[in-house]
Amino acid sequence: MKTASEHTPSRYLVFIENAVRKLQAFFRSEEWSRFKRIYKESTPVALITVVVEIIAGLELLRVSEYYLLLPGLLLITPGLMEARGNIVTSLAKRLGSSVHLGLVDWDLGINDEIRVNFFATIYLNIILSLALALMAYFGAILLGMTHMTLWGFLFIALMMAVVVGSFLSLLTVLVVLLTHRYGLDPDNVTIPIVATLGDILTIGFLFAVIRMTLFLDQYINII
Amino acid sequence: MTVRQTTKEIILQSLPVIVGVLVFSVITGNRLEESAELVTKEVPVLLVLLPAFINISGDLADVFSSRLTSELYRGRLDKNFRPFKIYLTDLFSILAVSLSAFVFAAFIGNLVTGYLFHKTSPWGRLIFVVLFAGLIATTLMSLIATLIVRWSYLRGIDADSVTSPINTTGGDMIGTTLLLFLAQLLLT
Repeated sequence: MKTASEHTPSRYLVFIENAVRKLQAFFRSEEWSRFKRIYKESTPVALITVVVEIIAGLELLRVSEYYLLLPGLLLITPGLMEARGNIVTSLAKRLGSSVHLGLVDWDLGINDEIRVNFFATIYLNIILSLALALMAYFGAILLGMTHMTLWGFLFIALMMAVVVGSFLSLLTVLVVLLTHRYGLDPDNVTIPIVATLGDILTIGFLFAVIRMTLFLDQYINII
Repeated sequence: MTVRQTTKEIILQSLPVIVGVLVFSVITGNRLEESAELVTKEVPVLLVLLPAFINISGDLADVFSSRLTSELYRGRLDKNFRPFKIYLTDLFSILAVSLSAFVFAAFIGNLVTGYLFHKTSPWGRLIFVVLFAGLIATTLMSLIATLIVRWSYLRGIDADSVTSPINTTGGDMIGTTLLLFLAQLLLT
């Protein structure tokens, strides 16, 4: 004759059975689909960002070769890069929220919502770049460092603000609209994409602006 | 609200935060840079890895705060981030993405360092250092982002305009400090 404990499954077995059932329910849940979507959309962009940022970081080391040619450049470069990144990611976030609220869509085209955000970004870029140029110039004077003229700082900062800022803002609008059009959630992908594009463009254009400044200095004294 | 008023509002909300974090990052960044120079001389992989590392932690915290803001505006989350399941799912998803990204960054960083400087760090330790520092930085930044999103939402400020600068600069500070500290402890 069998005892009662032999007829009922052991409590460990019940525990495992319950755990498996809960796991199965979890994999069928809305949370799991949400997790999978975020992971699937964000991971490839994050991995590409890693590679691009490593290359961009190595390129940035090359800018240091110009620190002696353009004294004071070291004071303004990190600020310009950081400010640009902050402004453009804020734009990406605001447009991402607008997409979810139905205010921005590929089919709606360039409407007031996009225009407002775009111009606010351009103004912010210009105001901050001017402030950074002034801060770098007076900072260099206060620290007793050799530095460019105020015109040199203003030229570099404004060129970066107007050219890179405008181009990057346009790219951000395009990335938000395109990701949404192709069924991706802009919140998951646009920030790493525009932040990385921002770094590449800023570094690339910084070389161009440095060369332009050195060229202009042959005719007008700006260094 | 007219186009002009909205533009002005965005500028007025963003400007003080961006200027504030820029001044903060210039002051604290110089000190970090000095210690980074010392560590990178001994561990060259950090020189290659650092820009990617700090960008990833900042970007992912930004993705998280962006999702939070969107869910708040859409009414799927209340001001206390309830239902909590949505909040936690987003947080764990971001941590899962950062796990893959930091392991990948350590791997690629070490490969590039081996190619450029002919000197690599021990693989296991490097992956551990980058992953551990990265996960802590992303978690901390995501929690800080949660507080900023809630604070700005309750005060009627657009969280999208203020979280990015704080996340980026905070990611720089916390990420760099953690990575340098752990690298000094385990890789030198």
